[in-house]
Amino acid sequence: MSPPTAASQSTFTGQGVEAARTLDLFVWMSLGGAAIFLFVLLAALASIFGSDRMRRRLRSDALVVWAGIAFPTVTLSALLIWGFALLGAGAAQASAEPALTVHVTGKQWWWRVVYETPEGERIDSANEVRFPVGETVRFVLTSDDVIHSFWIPAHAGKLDMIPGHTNTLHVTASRAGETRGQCAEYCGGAHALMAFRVVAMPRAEFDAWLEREAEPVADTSHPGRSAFIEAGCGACHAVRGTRAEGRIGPDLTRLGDRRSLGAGILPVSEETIARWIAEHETLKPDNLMPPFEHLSQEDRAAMAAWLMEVSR
Amino acid sequence: MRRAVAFTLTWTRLALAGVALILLGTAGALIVAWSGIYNIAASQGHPAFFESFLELGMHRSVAVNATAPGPTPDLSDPGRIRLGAAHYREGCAVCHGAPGDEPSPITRAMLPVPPRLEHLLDDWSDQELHWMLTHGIQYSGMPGWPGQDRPAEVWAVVAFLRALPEMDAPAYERASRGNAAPPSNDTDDLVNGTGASLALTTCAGCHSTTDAGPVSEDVPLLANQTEEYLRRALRAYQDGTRESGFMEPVAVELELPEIDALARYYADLPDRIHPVAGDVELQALLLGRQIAQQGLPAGNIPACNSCHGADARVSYPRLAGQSARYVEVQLQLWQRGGRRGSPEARTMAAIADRLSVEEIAAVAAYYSSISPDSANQVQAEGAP
Repeated sequence: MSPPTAASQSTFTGQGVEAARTLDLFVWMSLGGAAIFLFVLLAALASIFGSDRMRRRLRSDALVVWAGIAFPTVTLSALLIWGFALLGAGAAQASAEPALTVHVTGKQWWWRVVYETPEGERIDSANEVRFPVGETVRFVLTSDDVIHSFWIPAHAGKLDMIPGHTNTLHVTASRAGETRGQCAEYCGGAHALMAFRVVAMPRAEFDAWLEREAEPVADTSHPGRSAFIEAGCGACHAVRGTRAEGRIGPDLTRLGDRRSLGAGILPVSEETIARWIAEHETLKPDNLMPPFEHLSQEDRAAMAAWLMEVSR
Repeated sequence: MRRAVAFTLTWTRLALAGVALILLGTAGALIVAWSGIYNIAASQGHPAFFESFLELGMHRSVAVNATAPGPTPDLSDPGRIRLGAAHYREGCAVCHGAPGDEPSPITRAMLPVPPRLEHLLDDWSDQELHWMLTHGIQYSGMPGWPGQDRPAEVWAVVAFLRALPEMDAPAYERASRGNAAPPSNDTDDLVNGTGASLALTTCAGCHSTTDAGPVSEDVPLLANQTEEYLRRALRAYQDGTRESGFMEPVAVELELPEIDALARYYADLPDRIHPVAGDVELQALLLGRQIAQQGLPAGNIPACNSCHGADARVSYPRLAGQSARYVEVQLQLWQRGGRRGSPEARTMAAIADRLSVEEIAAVAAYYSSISPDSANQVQAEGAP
């Protein structure tokens, strides 16, 4: 398993507008807090080791009133107003028409991602989120089983995904690049292994990608394709353009195009796909895919090759 | 008062005496055993008092220990009686005899002698018979049920035993030979080699051949299966990775080429629906069809037809036309933690664990009602 790199999931990178604002607030609050702390520390030291004159000053009413009442009132009020403004900014964003709507459903322990075009067409995918840079994306979040939480640290804060309820999150990426998100609410066995890659791309690139994603796979015969259907994989996994139409597990159309396998825990290659089929119980304990030990090395390699090939 | 003996019994001395007695007793027993003075020959028989003692012990032990798993099913069900009869013929008649059939003289020389059962059955309740069949009896030749995972199979033999006192030789023949007429010469040619045709007689006792279907709902129809699946099933019964008191003793007798020939024979039989069917409710059928064709995504249950339809891998079983009771029993075995001997069975175990009681009944009912040609539909959610 490849662990996330420090840069790819850090809240300190501020790759999105919301994250950048929150980062600002955090930095100023931390600096301010540090300064106040330093002052208090110095005052404490002065009160112990300082001269009589210093101590008299520290005892004075003036200090208590100015530094203990007026100053906190002013700074905390300012902070409060700034915080409200931050939240308010979010509301303004929400009322504007988003450039893209993405429905993300939390499942144990993967993500169903459905892109909704302005025309209303829905495109199924899983375990990866892509969106255009500089435009507001609306995420509609819900869950099919237990409470999960959608969190892309570099772009925005956490928002719970609650079964039977939808939450909306607005995200605007300010830079192109790849980051990582993860589930932020304990949801059972494989919670720690429930992550996803996030890719922000220029608008043109995103449109091209979405168009390709919407297309069914080529209808050519391939030993992997027949192995996939005959083994019953299509009961849970959909591959657009084939008889496989299951919605119980992640959509596998264009799996080869994705940056991760198993909800963010493995890189994507023929080898890792074949390995996943045989060893997923060890790679992601508690996951809901039944064991498939009976598939031979050849079958698995063929399926993996097919899944990679139809993604090109 | 003056004591007669200059000895006082204290607790310590009592304890020491006890220990000494135990040691002496053990030593004595070991000496008797080592000396060979006790004649262990079965031909000698037991003295009458010892025989009565052993009988008392056995009766009382069974009476006190006998509990059957679950409720007693209908023992007058003719299918169940015939299944029990077929198994009795293969596994029990050799010692206990049968109507019109004397047991082997070899078993007459056992001690205790396996009794003829017709007159003894009033001594025992159904629960007690079930217990003795499942667990066997120590210090006798009575074995327990191979396939300790499958105590429910034993009820068929209990049902047969209850019907046994009324049976004469022809009735017994009819009950234990299955639905098919005895294999003709044609079948002989079909399954080339005398080994396999003899084996086919055994199979036909429960599973029948082309003439008619299996003798009871508990016996699966084999005609719709693939050769590969039947071969794997027989081998699994042969090496014990799949448990059944009916099938394991039968499979162990087969040579590998016979297994191949039998698998080919049954796979080549024309497809049909299992003839013995129970009542089916419309609600169950509709739910069963939904699960078979679309699955239940809310319960993470995939559509059965994806793996059990006619186009699936040949190592997967086909379900269309199969007995509903048989499908239910197999799914319940998985839920109880059984049937995990093969990799394919372990795949199914994960899915079977997700089904509720109603869902099991529904899919079983649905598959028992459809013919093999219509068994292929897999549809997306929401499609008509």
